[in-house]
Amino acid sequence: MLPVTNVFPKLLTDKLTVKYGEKVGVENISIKFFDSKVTALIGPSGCGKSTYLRSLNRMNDFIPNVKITGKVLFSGQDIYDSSIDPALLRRHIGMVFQKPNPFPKTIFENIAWGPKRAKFAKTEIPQLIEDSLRQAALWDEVKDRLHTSALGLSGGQQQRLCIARAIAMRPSVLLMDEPCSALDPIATSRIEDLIQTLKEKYTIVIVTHNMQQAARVSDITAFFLNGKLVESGETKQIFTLPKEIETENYLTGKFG
Amino acid sequence: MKGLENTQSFALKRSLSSPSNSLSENIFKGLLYVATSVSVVTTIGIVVVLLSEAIQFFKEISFVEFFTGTQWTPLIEPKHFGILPLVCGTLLVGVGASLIAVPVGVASALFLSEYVRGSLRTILKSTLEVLAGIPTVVYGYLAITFVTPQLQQFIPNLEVFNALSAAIVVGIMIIPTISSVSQDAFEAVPRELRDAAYGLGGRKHQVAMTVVFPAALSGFVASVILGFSRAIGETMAVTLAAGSTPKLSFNPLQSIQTMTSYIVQVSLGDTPAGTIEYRSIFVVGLTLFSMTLISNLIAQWFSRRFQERYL
Repeated sequence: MLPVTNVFPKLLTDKLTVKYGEKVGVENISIKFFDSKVTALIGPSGCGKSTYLRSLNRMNDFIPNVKITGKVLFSGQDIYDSSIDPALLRRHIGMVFQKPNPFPKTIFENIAWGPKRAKFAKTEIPQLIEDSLRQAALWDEVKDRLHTSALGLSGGQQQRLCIARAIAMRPSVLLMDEPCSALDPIATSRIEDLIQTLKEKYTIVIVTHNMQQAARVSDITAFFLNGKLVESGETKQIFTLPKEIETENYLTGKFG
Repeated sequence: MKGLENTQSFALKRSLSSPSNSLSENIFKGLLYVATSVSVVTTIGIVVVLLSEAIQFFKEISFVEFFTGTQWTPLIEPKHFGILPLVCGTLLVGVGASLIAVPVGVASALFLSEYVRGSLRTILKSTLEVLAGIPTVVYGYLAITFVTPQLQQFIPNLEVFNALSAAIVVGIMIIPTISSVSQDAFEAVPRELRDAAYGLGGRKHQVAMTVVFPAALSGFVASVILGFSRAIGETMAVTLAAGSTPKLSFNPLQSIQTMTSYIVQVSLGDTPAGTIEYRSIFVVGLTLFSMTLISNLIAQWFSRRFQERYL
């Protein structure tokens, strides 16, 4: 029997199709994302997994000619409904990008940026910054230099800062778009450990082109190919007993 | 050598049929060198002429009188050579023009870089750049025939020639400079920073003001200094609009004289070469040159000091 928390998905897409003009990004994707689970989206480059991820918090809105059909439900609300404010939505669905992208500001100001814009109480911000940095396993390394530039940090530290910055908004979902692709193996493994602790509090969706990473960090895996979802299921099952031949070929390195 | 008998032979030596090194390369390099030298030599030449005339000038007029004197009357007796009234008039127009052009220029730059895209952006940007192509003399008579009469309806004691109208038209004139340089700086801010800000739930105006603008601060400062330098160096429009009455006053409703207008006044008159009046225009030119140079240095210092570095 499934645990009770998993009965209602925090986020789901129902027959989601994203087109750029006439070009199809992803087609007819239905996936459910549950609390306290890490879902990995895998597949070869250009298969649409990043496009799909960016449609979950409406980051695709900035691309001209983008056309969305189907539904994305967050806590039961259709996020593409005209009554939805995308800025408010993104405060609940945080995002970590491929390349660490700290603002050229101090470490403190980086994390405080979102909460200040969202009018969090000023008095709680210092505590919030400490909590976020602790959760991102960065506090001990930066606590004495909070007011120095974030660009003085190493790539791995910058990426953990970006995670701290995202969780300072107290989101319920964290979207991660190949968060380790610009990092060395040691920094990568720190981020992977971090994902394991973060999943207790957040619904995590991670795009990765690294299959070992998907196997290590995720509970559920969805395999994309040419804009379509080939299959999704428990990570263990996908990696050991894939149902589809394409999945097996990809996982065994026959293409991709 | 043993073992290398089968080595294929390649033509690697220089020869007349392939004069890779010397002639063509040197001619090309020489042309580039000459082209570069033209502007360097010209700059040096101008500074030398300005300085040598200035030295002659300062043999007759003391530094103290020149830099602290409050009257500028080189063409009428008794002659006074205090530069302050001209500096004052120049700054009045330069600062006034910047007060108009900086907010408008930055606002339009932000609008163009953050709010519109595609063909609308191109159309608006090129329209703005047409503004930069209007001859400055046109702005001058625009001031006299349109701006001043309109202003006089609200400000009855506005003189026919006045610093206010000059500042307004020069301000309009330098909007494209400020806007276009700032826009380039805003657009150069990496998309990743905008992604980060929008991903945190930032709204457009918040992203524009607290991420894009600070990241492009040095480009913005450069645009302001460039605009300001253009404003204080502007001649035709201010000569027409502001008149030629050197006055140590910050009242923009009166006629004033800027450094450039004074130079025009003397150059157009029949002042004989070698006289003190004649030499005074070189000293005024040198002063103006120094002001522009100093503002450029301040801009460089400022952008080094406050620049937020990109990724």
